[in-house]
Amino acid sequence: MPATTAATIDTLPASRYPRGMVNVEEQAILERIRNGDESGFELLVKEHTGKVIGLAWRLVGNREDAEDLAQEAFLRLHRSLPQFRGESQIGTWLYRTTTHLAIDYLRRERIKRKIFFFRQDNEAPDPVAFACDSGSNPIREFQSQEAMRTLRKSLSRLSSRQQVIFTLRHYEGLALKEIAEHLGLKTGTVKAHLHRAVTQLRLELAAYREELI
Amino acid sequence: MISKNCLSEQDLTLYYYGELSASVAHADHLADCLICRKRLSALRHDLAKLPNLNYESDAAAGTRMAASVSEKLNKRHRNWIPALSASAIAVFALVISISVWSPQRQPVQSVQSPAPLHDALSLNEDMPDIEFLEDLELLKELELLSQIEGV
Ligand SMILES: [Zn+2]
Repeated sequence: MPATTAATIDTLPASRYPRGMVNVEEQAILERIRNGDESGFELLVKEHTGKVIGLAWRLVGNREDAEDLAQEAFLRLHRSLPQFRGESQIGTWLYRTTTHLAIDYLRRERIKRKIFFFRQDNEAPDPVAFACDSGSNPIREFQSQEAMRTLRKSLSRLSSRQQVIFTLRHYEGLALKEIAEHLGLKTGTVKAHLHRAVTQLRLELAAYREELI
Repeated sequence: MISKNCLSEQDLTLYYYGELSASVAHADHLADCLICRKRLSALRHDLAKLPNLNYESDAAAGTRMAASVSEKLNKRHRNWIPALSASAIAVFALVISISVWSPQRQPVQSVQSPAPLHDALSLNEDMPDIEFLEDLELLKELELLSQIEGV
């Protein structure tokens, strides 16, 4: 299936969590935490930080907020640790929690934006433009920054759910079935959201390209 | 011209992502149908233009995150102890004042029953945390928004 490979090859290996097997090392760390050794939790945080912030950043588009969401996910993990048993996977749990936190964040941002545009407070920075950053490398070329800004702006015009579903499928390489499980939706609903997201993004990006001509 | 065997727009998207069931039949159709091949090619072209979102994490990010999470956890722990003590003292003072002001003085034993302390604990557990306060903020914003939209 060449199309699938084309869509996911850039991001899939680096960003996805391993699934389907219980990590023995992780179980040992959990056992340490259960025995009152807090340094075990520190190890878990260090192990998962890059992946959790990366996911949050792809979902919300802003490094600072991505770090805040990651921190909240780890705090929730700490609260939930007593419930973790042999069959649970920390990575999957963090993935799901971060996704839900990102959806909440995106919804709040939408409300803020609506209020902002109603007030027409031109002196304050546009929250969308403000939320666009290029990631961690400051020497990125202008063109790629522009492409990123355009993508972020187009993504922000989708519904929170569509935005998250598109990002999880296109950039994280998650199967729609997995996304449906994460979000507690039917696969058919996820398919429809993905298609609407793709259609709208193509329209937005085509309009943007026309503006440039 | 698009025929009834042609892929719908949604099927095309799902085919692109390898998410279309019975994709063999669709692949057969694509092999024969120039229009669908062009539509798929246009979709592929548009999506290939999207920038990569590769996050570059620095080596110290994990250590920083572990430190900030640990600090937050300690802060929460520290905030709970004075709040718990204050609640216990408040309940104790309330019980004492009720017993003093009551026209029929109750025996002291009933004042020292474990129930009020338990109430104090459960009351404290129900204290709003930051998330709750944030939600409250959100509700205020929603209220403002509904007022705005109602204008
Ligand atoms: Zn066709």
